[in-house]
Amino acid sequence: MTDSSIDFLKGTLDLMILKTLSWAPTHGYGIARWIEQCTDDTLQVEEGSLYPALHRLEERGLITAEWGMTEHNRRAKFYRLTTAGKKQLRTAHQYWSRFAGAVFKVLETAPTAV
Amino acid sequence: MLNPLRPRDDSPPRVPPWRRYVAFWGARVDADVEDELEFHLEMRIRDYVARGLSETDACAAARSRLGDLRRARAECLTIGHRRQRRMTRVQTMETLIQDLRFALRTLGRQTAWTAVAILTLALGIGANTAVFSVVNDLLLDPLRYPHTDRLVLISRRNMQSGFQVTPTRKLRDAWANARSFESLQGYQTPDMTLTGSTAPRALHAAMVEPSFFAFAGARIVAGRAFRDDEAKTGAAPVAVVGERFAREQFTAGANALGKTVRLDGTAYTVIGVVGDGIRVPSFSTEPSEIWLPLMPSAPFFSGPVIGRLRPGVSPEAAQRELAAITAELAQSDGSIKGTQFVITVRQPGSTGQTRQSVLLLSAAVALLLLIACANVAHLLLARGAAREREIAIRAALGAGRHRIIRQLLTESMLLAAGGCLAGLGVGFLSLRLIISLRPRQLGELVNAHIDTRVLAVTIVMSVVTGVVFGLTAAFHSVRAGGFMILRSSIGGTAGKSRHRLRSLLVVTEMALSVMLLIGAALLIRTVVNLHRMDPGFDTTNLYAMPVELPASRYPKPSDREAFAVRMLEAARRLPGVEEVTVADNVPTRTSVMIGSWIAEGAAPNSAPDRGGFTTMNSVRPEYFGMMKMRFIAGRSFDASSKQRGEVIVSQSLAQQLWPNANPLGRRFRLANAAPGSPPAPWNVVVGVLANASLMSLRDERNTPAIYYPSETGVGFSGATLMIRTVADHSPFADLRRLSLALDPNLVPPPTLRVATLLSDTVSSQRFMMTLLTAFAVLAVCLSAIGLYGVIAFMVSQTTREIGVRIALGATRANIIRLVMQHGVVLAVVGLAIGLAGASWGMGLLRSSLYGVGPTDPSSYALGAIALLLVAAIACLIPTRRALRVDPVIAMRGE
Repeated sequence: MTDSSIDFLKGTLDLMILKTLSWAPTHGYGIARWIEQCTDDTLQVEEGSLYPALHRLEERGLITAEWGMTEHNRRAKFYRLTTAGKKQLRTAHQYWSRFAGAVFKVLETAPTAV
Repeated sequence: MLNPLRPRDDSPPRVPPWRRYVAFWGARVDADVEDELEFHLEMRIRDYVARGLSETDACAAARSRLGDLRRARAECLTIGHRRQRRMTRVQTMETLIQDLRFALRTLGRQTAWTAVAILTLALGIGANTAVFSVVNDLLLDPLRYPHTDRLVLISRRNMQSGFQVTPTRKLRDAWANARSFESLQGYQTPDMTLTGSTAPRALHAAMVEPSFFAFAGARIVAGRAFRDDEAKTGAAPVAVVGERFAREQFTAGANALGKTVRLDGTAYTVIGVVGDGIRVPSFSTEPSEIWLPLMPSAPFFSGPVIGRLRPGVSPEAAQRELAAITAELAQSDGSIKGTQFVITVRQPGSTGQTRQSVLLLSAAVALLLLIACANVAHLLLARGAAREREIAIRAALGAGRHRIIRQLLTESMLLAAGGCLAGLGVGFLSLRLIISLRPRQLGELVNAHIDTRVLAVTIVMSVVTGVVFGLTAAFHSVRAGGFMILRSSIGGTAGKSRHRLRSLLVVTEMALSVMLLIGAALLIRTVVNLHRMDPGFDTTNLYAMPVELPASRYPKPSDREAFAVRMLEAARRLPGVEEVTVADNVPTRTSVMIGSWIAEGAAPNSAPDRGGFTTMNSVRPEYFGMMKMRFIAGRSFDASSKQRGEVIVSQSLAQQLWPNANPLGRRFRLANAAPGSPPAPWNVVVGVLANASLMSLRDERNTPAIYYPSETGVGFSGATLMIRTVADHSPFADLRRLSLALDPNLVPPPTLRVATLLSDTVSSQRFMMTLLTAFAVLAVCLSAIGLYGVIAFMVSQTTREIGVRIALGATRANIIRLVMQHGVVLAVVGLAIGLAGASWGMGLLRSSLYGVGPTDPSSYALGAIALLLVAAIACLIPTRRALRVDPVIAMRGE
């Protein structure tokens, strides 16, 4: 448990997993590390949520998994984005951009005297 | 390396690596989740070590960071297992669809083969469906009331005569307090006359208690059921009518409400319409059309009392309680003879003869299904030989044994499904046929139909059939053909073992067929014997017209007498009439008196209280001459017979009363008059008649009979006109006109051929005979096809051998012997087993037989000869083919 982590909004973890996998297939730990590095450890991915999320995405057919070898010659489960996953990523990406933009507008707009 | 995941208590037991290879999907889900999480931990530790932590610290840090993974692990497992299940399902479905598509294609390519297989199955399944509908209707659920399992019929049986006697009203009211029953229903099913706008007609009515409709779960379509106050003496007459009756009389159910119907002269107001299909147990063949409240004054005479037991009460316990109540009542009321009668409480459904007949038919038709199964197995095996190479190729290409068996089984199930559908069609048609052939005694058969229960049984039957013949053939194909090397020709061990199985099937078919044949032969002989019997009177050109004279139109005896006299006069003037008389009743429809007779001079209690029944008729003096009945002693009546109390008795009654003495001039009377009442009048015997079949051709002609003298021949409720016409003269139209001229308001009486009436009394034997013969013929045809298949296959297998033999100089006789030998052996072995089976099984038929024993040698010989003949014909065709074999072509082939 890390208290420095920011609670994920619903669906954000899925979006970040899909985005991470859009670069290259990788294993669960790779995904966690990538998100942590990208956000300079602002976001710490909880394993308790990461793996169920991965398995759910796999069940939904957005990603597929297969066992492969890491650079340290260790057997690991690699995840890969499917076509459906790519499509979902595009939709979710647009939605999040619009949503975040809207939230920012509210946050940064001060009332002006009329 | 230290494994920080292991020490935790909640971690699942470690799955050894080899386990995940055991099942295709099985253990992998669990192991995979474990592996994945373990890998994550290892990587985290590796990271911490890279950042400079010691290995122990790194482990601790990683573990504290990961935290409690129980929930995550459980969630991953749930998802994994769900996926796995779904994938298995999809895979199974895909295989099934693939198998089905392949089976459809294969079967579709061989249209003729498929048609024969489906037709064979349809015959077997259809016949069984039809017979099961009959079983369902007659034995399983004849009434279709709710909670059938707790429904019982209560009747009283006379201990000596075995005759069923209906409980009286007094008893029923006493029984009403019995704790064993939820409800008791007394009822009556009188025939009434409907008059009104149309021509009068007879109507089947039922008088029931007000709670009956609720008891029977009847659907009230319009209006309401009876109220309690409508079943009281003096209440305004009301009626509930059946739906069909309402439609016929008032065009629609709702229109009937408030209308009046005139029955036996009384106007009843219609207060409700009840759905059709509801009946009460009765001897009448037709369902009741109109329902009236049962008045407290009405006695019961038309059937037993019906009741519903409380849950958990056995019929035996109920019987004991009723017996106790009856015994108690009998002490205070002399009119109830508690000791003479046995109370029976039994589940509804036909018993005795009917039950046995129907069960016998079921057994016969089950044999037929077995034969049909064997035949389809033949067909599959024959095709298996042709498909051996296909199966071998598929096996070589990696199809597992299970996969191939599944494929073959899919094909048989598909065949069974086709057989089921076609069988339902055949069953529907056969049921119509059976119903149209129904004997009078099984009148209720009209209601038999294919309901959900029959449907379920048919489907289950088809599935079982498909699995049985499919598995037999499939296992055989796989064992014999599939996993051997791809051979270019058939033969060797596989062919032999298949041949052995097919021979076994043929022997079975032959044995079952011969049993059916013998059963049919026995019944045919029974029916012939029954028809050959001399009934004791001459039925040639003899007709009867029973006229009902309702008390509403003919209240006084003198009215009825006047009518009878007018009828006799008018009938005498009809053209083509040789002889004519009027009597109370006609043989087979006689009145019956229950009670015992006592001879004059015998000690008062010496007459055994048989409580048996005596047929009774009131006749004019010319009756016996007209019927051509034979007097053994004495004479017929004369004009003053009535005043002198003369009667004429049958030989059987005379022997019963005076076993070793001349009965003429002796007196006897009814023994069991109620205590306190004056004794019955004496009867003087003036004539003794040879015994005759007065009730049924089957009653051995020994039913006691008594004839009373009558000037007009009229009885209590009507009179029967008896005429004998000149040869080839049909009196139907004349008699119809005559009855109309006499009284247009009467229900038009039927004209009956007495010979037909008599032969109707054995219609259930004829019915059994017809069905069993049909089944036997079908069975023999099917097994002949089976035998033909085996022999033809053998010939095609040994063409080369035959060719060699012919080339070496074998004569035609040698070849015929070679081919026929096998067929004859199969037929004879089957025959022997069948004969043994028949001598054991035909005992079941005993009570249905007449004049012929269950081991009648000529019937057995007949069955055996018929079977051998058919077997010979079945072998003949392949033999001819064998004779035409050209040695040159045969040896060059292959």
